[in-house]
Amino acid sequence: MYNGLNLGLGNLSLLSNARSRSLSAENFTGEKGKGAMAEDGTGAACARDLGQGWKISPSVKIEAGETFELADIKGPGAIQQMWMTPTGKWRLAILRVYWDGADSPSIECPLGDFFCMGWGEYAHVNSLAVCVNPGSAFNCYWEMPFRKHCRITVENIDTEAMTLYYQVNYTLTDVPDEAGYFHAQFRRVNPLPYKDVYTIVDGIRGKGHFVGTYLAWQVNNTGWWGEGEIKFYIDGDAEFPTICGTGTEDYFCGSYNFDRGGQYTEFSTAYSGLPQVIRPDGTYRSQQRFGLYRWHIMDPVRFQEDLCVTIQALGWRSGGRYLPLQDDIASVAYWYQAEPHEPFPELPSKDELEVI
Amino acid sequence: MYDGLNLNLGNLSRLSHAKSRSLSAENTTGEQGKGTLAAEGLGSRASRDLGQGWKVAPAVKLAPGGVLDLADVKGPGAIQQMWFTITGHWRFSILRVYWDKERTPSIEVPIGDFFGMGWCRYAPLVSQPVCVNPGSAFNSYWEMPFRKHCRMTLENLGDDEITVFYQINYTLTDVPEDAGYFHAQFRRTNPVRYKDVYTILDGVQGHGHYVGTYMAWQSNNTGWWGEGEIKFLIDGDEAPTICGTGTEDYFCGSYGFTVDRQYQDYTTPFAGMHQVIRPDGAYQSQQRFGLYRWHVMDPVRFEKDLNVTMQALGWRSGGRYLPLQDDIASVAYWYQAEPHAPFPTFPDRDTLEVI
Repeated sequence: MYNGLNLGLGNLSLLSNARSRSLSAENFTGEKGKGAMAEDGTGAACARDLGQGWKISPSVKIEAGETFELADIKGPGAIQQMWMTPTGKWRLAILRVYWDGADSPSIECPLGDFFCMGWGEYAHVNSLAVCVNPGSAFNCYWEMPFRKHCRITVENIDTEAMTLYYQVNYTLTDVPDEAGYFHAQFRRVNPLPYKDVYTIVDGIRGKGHFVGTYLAWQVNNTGWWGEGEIKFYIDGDAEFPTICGTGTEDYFCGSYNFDRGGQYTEFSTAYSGLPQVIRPDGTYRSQQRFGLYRWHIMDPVRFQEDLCVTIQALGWRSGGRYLPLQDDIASVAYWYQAEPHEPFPELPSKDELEVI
Repeated sequence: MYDGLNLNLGNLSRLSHAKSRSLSAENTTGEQGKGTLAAEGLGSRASRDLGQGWKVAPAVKLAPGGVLDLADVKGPGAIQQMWFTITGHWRFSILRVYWDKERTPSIEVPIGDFFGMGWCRYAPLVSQPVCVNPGSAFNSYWEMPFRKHCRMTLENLGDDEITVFYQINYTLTDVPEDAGYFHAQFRRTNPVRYKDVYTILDGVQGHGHYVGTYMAWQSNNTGWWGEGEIKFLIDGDEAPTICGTGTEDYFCGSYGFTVDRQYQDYTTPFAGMHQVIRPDGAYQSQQRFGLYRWHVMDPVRFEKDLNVTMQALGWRSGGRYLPLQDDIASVAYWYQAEPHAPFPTFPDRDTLEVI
């Protein structure tokens, strides 16, 4: 019988013996028939006249410096949907996911950046894989299969406690042999050294495919900042990449500076978008910032052995010459691969993470 | 060869011997080569100088109390897309679908609610399985396989004749053994009783999976109305297996759906609050919401039975939750193996009416 994975609108009629489970503060373990049983929780005082079943434990409080274990579940199965709404500084809450008991995480990323909200302020994202909805709801629909185990943690590295509401929908079912594991890696360089390229990801080893890029980009010069090219170095490519783009906005499926009528124009589509343009307000919010995503759902970039992805930061200077930019750039690379993965570079320190 | 089902952008290159057919007022049987043959129809007068083939029968009229047979199709096959645009009171036109000659319908829903328009007012809805487009076009892309037969009807409970434009695209092909049948059930409670929960669906028997919720919600108290939790009781559960954390959370929003202190509508592939109706200070006095959640990527599977409830919960003094007494209607969407348990008795016209 159908294993309940590989979902789409077109095969939704197929019956399956897969089991549906869901983690939230109302059911920390996801076990069958164990939801809404809490007698104590963040809603206990509000429900004091109503009692059990009336939203007694809708959320968790994560103290400063604390790591909350959000998932500790046995496979085989797959994460199917995640919803979260964290308070506090989204850059300073770190999401980590460990597959099959691995020591090093396959996802290590600030919560905000994972959901395309690297600047710590809301913008609506309306794509197939990630949606960010009013008031500040982070959703993803990436299918994340695992064979033995899934562990998800959120670490609060801020100095204030944070409140986290979350719901992680998953299924318990057989996972096919060829299924890879989901990975996401965060980076930030501020500022990019003159004539350097920005590295979105490198050092990936194994067989897999790259499925997405999120960039949080602050421009540190006047004028257009997106002439730079994306480059995918696949399976031993040395000096020259196999896949080379033609401009930053082109990679994000836009064109001509995202410009309509002399203004940057936001868009958010199924596979790519510029969902966020932050415009300086003339006083303290002085920086022009952008959020961009590109999902390779219909065109994953496959690799057999290794992968490196870079993008140039490139503008214009006098005499019609390109200007290598020294911008503040952060990114998330999303990919699937067979485990084991190469350990990630060390996550930047709190001061290096901070949106300043 | 590929059966032509399980469609998506990624397998669209595959060839198939599946046959494409379509029902509309221009071809009411869907038969091959039988479109635009009408000599009489709603467009007869407009096409009197042009003749056959020139939009002679684009729509049908449906008298008060009448039942229109939209589809009477032999399988195996699958409905692939439906488009409707209907005049009149959308709550009073009832869509019913009967699979494989069953006596009771597997879909029984007011046409407006089926397409997320329970308040009988247009709002754009842009999702994968349902779209509502300008001026008032109802579209669904749910794949609905059937083995032997598909019968679809529309009943006009209103006092006025209505005009029905429709197009139902389907395919004739083999249906795999593990395909379930599409179901949709409407409910309305006005008002929800104090401390009751709102039942979206119960009494489901069989093997299947839940794929969507639409809610038309009127708030009958000041303040925020969406603290309530969704609960899925699966296969004999006493406490739910799946428990949500708030109404807006279930619909993939958060913190009161507010941006800059206002309800902010949104419509995404799998979830949305596509409609916010604001009181106008005179006769349009009620604050109303339209919300959807499609479990396309995360269907809720059950082997034997399913019960889905939602609390209506706001706030009262002393930081206490207030169980609400709101006007709530809903549609539950799911697939299951037939036979299904018969639905509760359909509400009468006065119980249906948007008031």
